[in-house]
Amino acid sequence: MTRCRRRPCPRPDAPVTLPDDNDILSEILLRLPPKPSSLPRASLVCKGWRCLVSEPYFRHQFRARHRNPPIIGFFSDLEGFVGDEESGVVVVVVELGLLEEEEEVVVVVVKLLEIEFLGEEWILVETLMDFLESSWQKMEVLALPFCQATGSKCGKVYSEGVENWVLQKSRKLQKILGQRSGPQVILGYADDIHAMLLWIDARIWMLQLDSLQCKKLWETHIIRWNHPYATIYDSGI
Amino acid sequence: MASAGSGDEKAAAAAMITLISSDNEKFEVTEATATLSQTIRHMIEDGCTDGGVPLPNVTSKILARVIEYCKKHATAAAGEEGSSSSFSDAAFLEVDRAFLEELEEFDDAFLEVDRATLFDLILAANYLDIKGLLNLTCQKVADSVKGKTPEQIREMYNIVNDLTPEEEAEIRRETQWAFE
Repeated sequence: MTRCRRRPCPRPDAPVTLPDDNDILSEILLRLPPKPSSLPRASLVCKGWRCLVSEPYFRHQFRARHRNPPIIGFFSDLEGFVGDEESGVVVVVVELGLLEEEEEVVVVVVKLLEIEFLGEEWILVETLMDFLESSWQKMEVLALPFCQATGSKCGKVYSEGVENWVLQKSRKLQKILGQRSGPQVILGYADDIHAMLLWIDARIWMLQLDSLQCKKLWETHIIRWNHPYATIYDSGI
Repeated sequence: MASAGSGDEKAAAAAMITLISSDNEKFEVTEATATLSQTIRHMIEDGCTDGGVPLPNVTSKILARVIEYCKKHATAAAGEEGSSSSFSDAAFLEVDRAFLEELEEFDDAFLEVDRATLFDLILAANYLDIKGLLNLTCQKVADSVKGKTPEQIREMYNIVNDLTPEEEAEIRRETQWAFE
């Protein structure tokens, strides 16, 4: 699609009229929050706005600008998971995709990583390394909330080069959540925003790992693996 | 200082740039302040700032505000460079944080203007290619639109709804959920 013919919105001359410049309008609308309703609402203002926000180039820029879209909700399913019996310890979640049978996904929770904070250096998670090396050959680690491959992108790393994993930080869950005890189950992990979904005391919590802020989402007695759904609405308008 | 005075003065004088507003008012600013504007930076690089930089699109009222912004942020940029070597020093980080907070307060106060001035600042930031200022001012307008209905947006910015009822109905039908 070629760029729309410029037809600025007709506006009476008034002190609050926007500058008649599509580049500036674009700069403004690009800064709208990445909520699904932002662009549909803007497209209803007038033809000029509609034309602008419908342009593929604008869409591309909007997505590039809001790399981490907000979480809209969670899908859940009945896949198994292993809970952490040792309360108060942050665990690392490993999702194992068996490549031959792609349907089958095993969720392994590597439990009890007693982690120490040694000055400025975080120690290597030996327990995790041992576990992975003695286990499966082909595995994709989908969620490493507190670990990061050195010099690599955070969150999604592959089993090759696991020896390079370095622990980024660790905190006692109890301290963050203010929970005394009770089983804690990791239900999901949102890669983009580094957030974990936890089930504690019949409530689902979202823990943002960068800020360590916790938010109560809803109450449930059903424990299911959850897949976060986060996107910017992007169908044609 | 005194013995090297003349040399320093010369260097300082050479680093000053004169900006001339549309209403012919002259503003003397340091090169560090002026080069926050990519437009002026390129002019300096091309050596065409002798005799002042005429800015026919910017009034003295707006230029004064833009310079106020650039001065503050040029100081901030210099501070950042200076403190990078002391990255591990908690005391310096503390100072940095305090400075960043101050900068944020400055930006907030800077944006306390009427919309007409805000738009003039946007136009100037765009013309002078000052990324930080363009970001700050455009974000302010975007925030004012955020969460508003199309009707409210039109009212705020004197926009005439030129969509035909059919077009409007079509958009609403396609994206009905966004308006509920």
